[in-house]
Amino acid sequence: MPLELSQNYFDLFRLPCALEVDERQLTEQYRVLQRELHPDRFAAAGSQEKRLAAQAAAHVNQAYRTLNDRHERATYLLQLRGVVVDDEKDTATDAEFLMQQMELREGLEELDGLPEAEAFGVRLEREAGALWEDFGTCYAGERWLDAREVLLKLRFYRRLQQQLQVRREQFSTG
Amino acid sequence: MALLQISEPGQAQLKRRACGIDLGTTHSLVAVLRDGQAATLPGPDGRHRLLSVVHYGDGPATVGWAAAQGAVEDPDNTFFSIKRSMGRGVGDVDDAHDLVEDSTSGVPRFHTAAGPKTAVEISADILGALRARAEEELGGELDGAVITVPAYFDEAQRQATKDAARLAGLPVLRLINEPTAASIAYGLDQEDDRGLIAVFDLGGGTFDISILHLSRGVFEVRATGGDTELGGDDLDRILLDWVKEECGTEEVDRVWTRTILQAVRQAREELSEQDSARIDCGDGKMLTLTREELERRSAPLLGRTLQCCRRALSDAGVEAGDIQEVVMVGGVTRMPYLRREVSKFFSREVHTGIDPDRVVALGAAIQADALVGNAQDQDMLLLDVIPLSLGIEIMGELVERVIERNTTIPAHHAQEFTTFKDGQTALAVHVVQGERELVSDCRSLARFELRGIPPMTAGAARIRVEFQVDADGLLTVEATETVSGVRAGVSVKPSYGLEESEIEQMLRDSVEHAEEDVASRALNEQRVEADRVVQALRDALETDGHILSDDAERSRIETAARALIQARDETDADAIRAGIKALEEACEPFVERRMNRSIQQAMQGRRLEEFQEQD
Repeated sequence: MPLELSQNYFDLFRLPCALEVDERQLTEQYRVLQRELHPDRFAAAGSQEKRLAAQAAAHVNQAYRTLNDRHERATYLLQLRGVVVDDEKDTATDAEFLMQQMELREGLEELDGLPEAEAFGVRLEREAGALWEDFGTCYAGERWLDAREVLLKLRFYRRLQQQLQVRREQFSTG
Repeated sequence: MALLQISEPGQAQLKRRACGIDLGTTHSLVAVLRDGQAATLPGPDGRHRLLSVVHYGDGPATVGWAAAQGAVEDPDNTFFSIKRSMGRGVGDVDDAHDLVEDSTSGVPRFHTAAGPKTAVEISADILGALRARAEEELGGELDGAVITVPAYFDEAQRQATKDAARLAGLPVLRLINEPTAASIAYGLDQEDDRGLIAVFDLGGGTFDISILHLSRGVFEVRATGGDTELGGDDLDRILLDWVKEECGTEEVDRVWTRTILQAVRQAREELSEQDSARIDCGDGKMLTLTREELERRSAPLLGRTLQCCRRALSDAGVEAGDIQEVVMVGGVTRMPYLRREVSKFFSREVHTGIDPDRVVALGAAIQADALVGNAQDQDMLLLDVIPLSLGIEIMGELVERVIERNTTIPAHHAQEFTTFKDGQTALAVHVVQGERELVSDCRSLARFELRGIPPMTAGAARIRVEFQVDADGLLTVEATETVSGVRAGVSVKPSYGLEESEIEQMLRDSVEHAEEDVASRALNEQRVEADRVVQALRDALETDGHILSDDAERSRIETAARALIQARDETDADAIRAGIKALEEACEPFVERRMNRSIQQAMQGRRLEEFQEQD
């Protein structure tokens, strides 16, 4: 691609390379970039401009999508350090966590009504919060593989939270 | 950075002719900007709403009320709600008409007195009628049009709409989503950080719910959902069943059905204003439909709209209480019952200030005017999403999603796949759209093959499949085997889409019909395009001539431009096409440099600092 778009997403949004991002800066810079590069800006221009603009805008969209989501952002941070997290194949290997997973899954299945579901949600949120702190510590200590392990656990929590959301809807619509 | 028109000193700014079109299931509208205000245009009969009905007889097609009136006598040659058949296969279309045997592309053709017609051609006749209105109002050929589509329209339906526009001779600037157009018309972006809005759009044939975030001219779609087979038409069918029950009628013919459908629609519309309506069932039978009965009968169907709202909110990661404004679009939203239910769901009053039938066309006109380059200082930007996930078929007839639904477009994503057999030299790529796991539950978009992969052991080949979705939501897919560099790609022509050759044939047929010369039309198209390219270049040189690398580059560009201008004044369309291509090639480095400069400026946050100063 002849376009000189920053390949590092954090640079593209003028943000420091870190787990916590300034969301206002991220969103504002996203709009600035799209205002300049979106193909609609080139509606009256030639086909080359339109094609280049579509490439540039797609890159900006992908970067924004990545940095705008905590999980994606963490995955990307590790990827910049050469550590790949494959959503499909990799799972947490920690034996103790495997037991905990089973227990949590059962917890989800046995929910019986909206109040229980809400309480379960609070629990998931609390435990995920603690894991995010662990991730931060591992990342700061440059223990990339440990950070990866924590991230895989967090993915399990995210999936569970999505499943819980479905249950919640079932309860609330009867 | 947009290329703005720069007029010579003392010369008035040339206003370009643009219109917005709402191509609806039951009726369609066209709007233009007059003195900065969007207005819909009436037809010769004074009505703004053009019924989306086409009748084929001996002469040219008739469109609108006249066509609908003839429907009772000649239902076989009269087409209602053709939008429902756009981008659809034989199995999916309305069975009220006889189909001609399958064409090569699998696009259904209806038998008519004027020969076989596809949904694309029938829609093109509706678009043609609207184009004529706009051209009469604006006093000449259009420079650009924006056509709206339901946000929930899939790839095939969008492509079909674009093909219809091409047949109708409309220069399409963009397809935009109906809910986005409606929110433009409401001007809800004018206030700072208006926040989240929901657009609830229930028209004649489709339902859309979109969750948008609005801030200083930026319309960012967060999530969209809906049902392309849920609308006023479906309410009418329910009422038709009610009439059958009440009259004890079993055997019905098309003429009776058509008459009753028109009668119940009218009754349904009247019930937005009054408590009961009379329906004439023929043979002296009159029925009274109460608003209560209507509400009771339609509740299950309307309940489905709220389910879609729930899912869209969840996709956007927000709750009903986070929504700050609710905009109602589409004629069906006049129903008091629906307004009440939606208002209850979002716990707030709903916006109904602009005529729900016209609001979409009005928004499209505003966007068309901006895109065509009339708005000098426009900061409006639409960031739309794809409504359905895109993926490819993998082993076991499963779908691997490549781009998730609600991804902002333009979008690009690449994914790697591999071979599963030793020595496999070809790979079939099957592109599908939908949310389900099984290929059979998704909509097939296209198939192509990557051939000539060098024989390797299973799993050794690295096949990179790249999806690119443009700003209209249309997809291009390319596959490359990265070890050997073998490539294959398609600009996805949907499985129920027309082949290029078919469109060209239709173009020939349609202009013959209009007694217009094919060659002169092609020549004219190329001339318009040449003028556009030359004008864009002039503007670019005016603002950025200083970034040309040297005089040699300038002279290369100027030579190509002169050649094109000369070809343009002659009469060979192919020569003009070649001239455009040559000029674009000569400009390529300059264009890339300009684009990169825009990127650098944007990345340095120049504009951001300007905004903050304003704050």
